[in-house]
Amino acid sequence: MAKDDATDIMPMPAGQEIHPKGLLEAISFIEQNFSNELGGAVLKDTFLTTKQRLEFFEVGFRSSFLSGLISALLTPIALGVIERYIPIFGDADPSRFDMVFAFMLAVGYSLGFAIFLAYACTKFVGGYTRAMIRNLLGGVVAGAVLKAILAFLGFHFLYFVMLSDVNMQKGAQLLYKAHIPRNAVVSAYSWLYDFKPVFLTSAWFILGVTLVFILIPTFSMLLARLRNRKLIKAGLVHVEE
Amino acid sequence: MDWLTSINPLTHVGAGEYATFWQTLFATLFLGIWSRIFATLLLVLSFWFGVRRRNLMMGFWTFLGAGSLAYGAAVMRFFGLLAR
Repeated sequence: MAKDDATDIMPMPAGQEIHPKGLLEAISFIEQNFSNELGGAVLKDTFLTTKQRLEFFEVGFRSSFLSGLISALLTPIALGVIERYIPIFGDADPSRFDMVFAFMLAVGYSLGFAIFLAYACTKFVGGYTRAMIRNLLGGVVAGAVLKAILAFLGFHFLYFVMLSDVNMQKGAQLLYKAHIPRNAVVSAYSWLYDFKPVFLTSAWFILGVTLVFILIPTFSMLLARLRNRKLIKAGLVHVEE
Repeated sequence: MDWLTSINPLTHVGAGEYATFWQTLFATLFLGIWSRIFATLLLVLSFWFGVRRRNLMMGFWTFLGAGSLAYGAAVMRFFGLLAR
């Protein structure tokens, strides 16, 4: 008969260490450990190794940077619709509904992603899950800020350098030399000349959207912290500091 | 080869009728009230899948669909595929 030598210590084999490769995987690890902590498991934040912290940061950075680029690319199009330079639903004179729709398309991706992250950022109660979320959110904020800076500089570069009067005239001359009809060149030139200030509006608009994008999950994390204090005070959850 | 000829639509309908079919389809998809209804439904669905159901793949494709319906007419006109 086997001797009953069961202890509370269960060493984790190296192969079972968590290494999130994508956002969904990172969130599922957080949810799993949040559930353990709610069930009474005491997991210290030092369980999360430096390598794992970096991995959570990297996942957050990558996902926020890529999703931010999609909305950054859609922004000048949406503002072009609102400024009546780009047709939406085939209509060059958009109705109020069309403008709202274009605006939602521009900010919808960032907004949806921020709400998605906000939900994940509430899944902490002890030190372990808090460390995971802090690193994930840190990466998300870093990715969003870098995206905003790149988009801001990029759109200003487009306006001041790429689409400067000299460069536009050079471009028009090249089109003439390529035997493009004069009417087409003139209309493309005047459209681009009128449209280019939209890039400056987009640059500032992206800064605003990025701020909202960062504030939504940060605010939900603060709310979750208040919820945790209440749960601990009521004795429903035990957390070792 | 007969079977290759039989899958050519112009053996069954005239060129004008065939072009009209595509024009009507594109116009229904990209112009007017139906386009707005489909695009709004897809945008709502993208939020539903992406945020509520946490199915990012479906969220992405429905979002892409909404964008395509909204800006599709401009692209189609640019390539000369939409006459209206």
